[in-house]
Amino acid sequence: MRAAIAGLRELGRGPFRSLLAVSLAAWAVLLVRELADMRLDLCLSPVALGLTPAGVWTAATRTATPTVLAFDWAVMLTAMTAPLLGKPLAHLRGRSLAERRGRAVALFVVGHLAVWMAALVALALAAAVLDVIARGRVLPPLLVVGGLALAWPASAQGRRWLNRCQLRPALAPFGLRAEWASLRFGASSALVCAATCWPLMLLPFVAGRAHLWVMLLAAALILAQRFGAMGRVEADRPRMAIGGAVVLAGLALLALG
Amino acid sequence: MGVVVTYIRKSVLGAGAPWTKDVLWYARAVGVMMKRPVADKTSWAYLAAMHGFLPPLWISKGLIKNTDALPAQSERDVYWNQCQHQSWYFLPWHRSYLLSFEAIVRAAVVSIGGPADWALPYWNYSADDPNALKIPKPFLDKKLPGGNDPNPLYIAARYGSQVWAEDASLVGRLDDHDFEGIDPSQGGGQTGVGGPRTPFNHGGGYEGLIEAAPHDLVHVDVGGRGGLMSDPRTAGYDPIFWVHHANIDRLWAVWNKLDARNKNPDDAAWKNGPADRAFAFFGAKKEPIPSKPGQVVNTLALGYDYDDTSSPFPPDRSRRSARLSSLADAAEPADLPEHAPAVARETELLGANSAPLSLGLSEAVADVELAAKPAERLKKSFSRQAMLASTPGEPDRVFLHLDNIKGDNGAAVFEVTVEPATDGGQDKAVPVGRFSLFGLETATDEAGADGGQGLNKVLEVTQAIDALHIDADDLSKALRVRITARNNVEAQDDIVVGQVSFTRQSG
Repeated sequence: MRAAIAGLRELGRGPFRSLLAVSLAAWAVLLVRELADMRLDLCLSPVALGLTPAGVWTAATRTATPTVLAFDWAVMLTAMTAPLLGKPLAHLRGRSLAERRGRAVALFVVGHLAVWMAALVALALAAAVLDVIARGRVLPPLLVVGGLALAWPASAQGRRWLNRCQLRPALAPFGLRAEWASLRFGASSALVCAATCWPLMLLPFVAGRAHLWVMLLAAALILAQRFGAMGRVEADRPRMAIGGAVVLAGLALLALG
Repeated sequence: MGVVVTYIRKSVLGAGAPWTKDVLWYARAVGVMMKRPVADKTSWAYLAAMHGFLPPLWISKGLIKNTDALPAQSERDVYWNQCQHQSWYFLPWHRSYLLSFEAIVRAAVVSIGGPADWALPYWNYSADDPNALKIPKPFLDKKLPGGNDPNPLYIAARYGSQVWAEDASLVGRLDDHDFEGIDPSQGGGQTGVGGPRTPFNHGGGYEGLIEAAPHDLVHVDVGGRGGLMSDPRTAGYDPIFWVHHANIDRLWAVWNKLDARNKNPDDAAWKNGPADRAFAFFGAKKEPIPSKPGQVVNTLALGYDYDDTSSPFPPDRSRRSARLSSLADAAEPADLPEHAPAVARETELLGANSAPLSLGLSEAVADVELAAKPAERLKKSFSRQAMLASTPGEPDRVFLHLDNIKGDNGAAVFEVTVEPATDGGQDKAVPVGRFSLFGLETATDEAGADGGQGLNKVLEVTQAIDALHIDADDLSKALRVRITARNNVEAQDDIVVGQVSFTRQSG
């Protein structure tokens, strides 16, 4: 966590220090909605709510329109991932002509959100499948996803994706190619981010009514990973083994029904 | 309170050369350390692996056998693959590394009857000495003097014969007063003498002035194509690495002494070292020793000094006054004070090319279009008004960026010129320096620590822009960059520059 705090301090002295304020504001919105009992519906167990998988979408759109869902997810993404965007945005700013910097940042954000939204749909579906298999129980899916959250970042492949979070591509400077480059950078940045953090992002979806607090924990772990674990190449086998054991425990509980 | 300086690091070109007393004992101690098992913290291999280590590479080079017992993974995660490059930690990390190494070598020296005040020699290839550029003879002799014993300083996998004169030149390397550079990823070009601000950085990104040259260039000049010195993952195994880095460490001390403004960072983020992975060093008894940058800022306080940290430049030399003198048509240098006031530096992209550029034996050419508004701001900076002490005080500085360089030959060296991108522009070409690709293989590896980002190089081209301004009083809408292979390049090399661009920096 020391590295995460140092990373946030670095963000605070750079040109995108406002990302911290934006993230905090988003957390405030999430907290207010939680306390006001206006829950993020897609984080709740459809089975626990007495819904069949087929009825999940109908219920979700009855209680929250696609616009509201998109808003909720955008707020969640902003809260959890905004502090991670300082360095990519600084690169974008530095490698863009001064006159189009604002536009470049806006296009980056659009590309970034678009890819993450698609990733969240996939994660929500995965969570729904786990929920059906678990017949509404929270612990088995939580163990499976928690174990993955331990093992994936410790694996060589997981570390490779984390290291790719540092990529700063060449960006075309002029015309439509420049606009496309900004959009593409945002999208590729989100893709790498999702590939790195997907188990931690999946955790709140399987946490039942504790989803907001698990979201906070996941965000803290994502920060610790981004700022504290970059640059490692070899797999951490003991940690992978622990994660694997937790996954197996979760699967065993699922099987025992 | 007086400081007791116990150890004086002396030049390999000093009294008794080529086999000075310190070099001879160094050779004998290296022989002792090379016999120790890899897992021993005071072994030659262990200390080399702290800089960089890759098992298949080391085995293929014969540095270890695949049957050698390595330290546990958890220990390797702490001590090995630590070297800091392209980072403001480059200088202090290597200083701590040398301190650790020197203490262990000294203990080995004493164990075989040598002097207790032994200190690591340094190789000053920039010295005004006809032998300075040549690899010192003790590293080339296959036998120790006076007998038939093999010389541990000799390494077969060292294919260079000397340092190129222009690579050893310190012109432009110690002039800036800033240790920390403006992070070029945030638009700037000046990388500082020490390098840009980073977290723990094993490689990748932009490098400070001393690291770019002479450090990188000497590595590949000495190592040659395929040599141990040409790859950061094996460089520490070559005994010449240490006398090279002692000189780099000395240059840091020289820079600090050159001017009262040449200060090390006061920032806790530098002084305390990286928060994401602490540096880890040990002494002769494997005890922890100072490892944080803030603990190694003063060689005297650490108990050592160099026999020569005098300025390598004439006493009246100043980058700024030399530059303003060359722009005599725009300003009367006598009217302008020596030091411009500190102002917030504005940095921005001037322009970039649009396609990757392949480097090889043939000359590579990139035309870089300059955006109209930034180019106009650059031109305006050449006015007399802009050169008043109350304004930035000198015209913009301009930097050439070669980004995301990837390839398979880190020993390659290229020369660069800049000219207007017009017919006949080559007649006005100005050489702007050279770059080596030390660390290229690691930076290109997509499974590596920085995700396959490639290397980034920055060359200051201010003098070329000044010349173009004076000659034509106008800057072209585009500049042409020519990159020519100088040495260690072969036809089968696959080296690509992701983007070529220019930035301007005011003040």
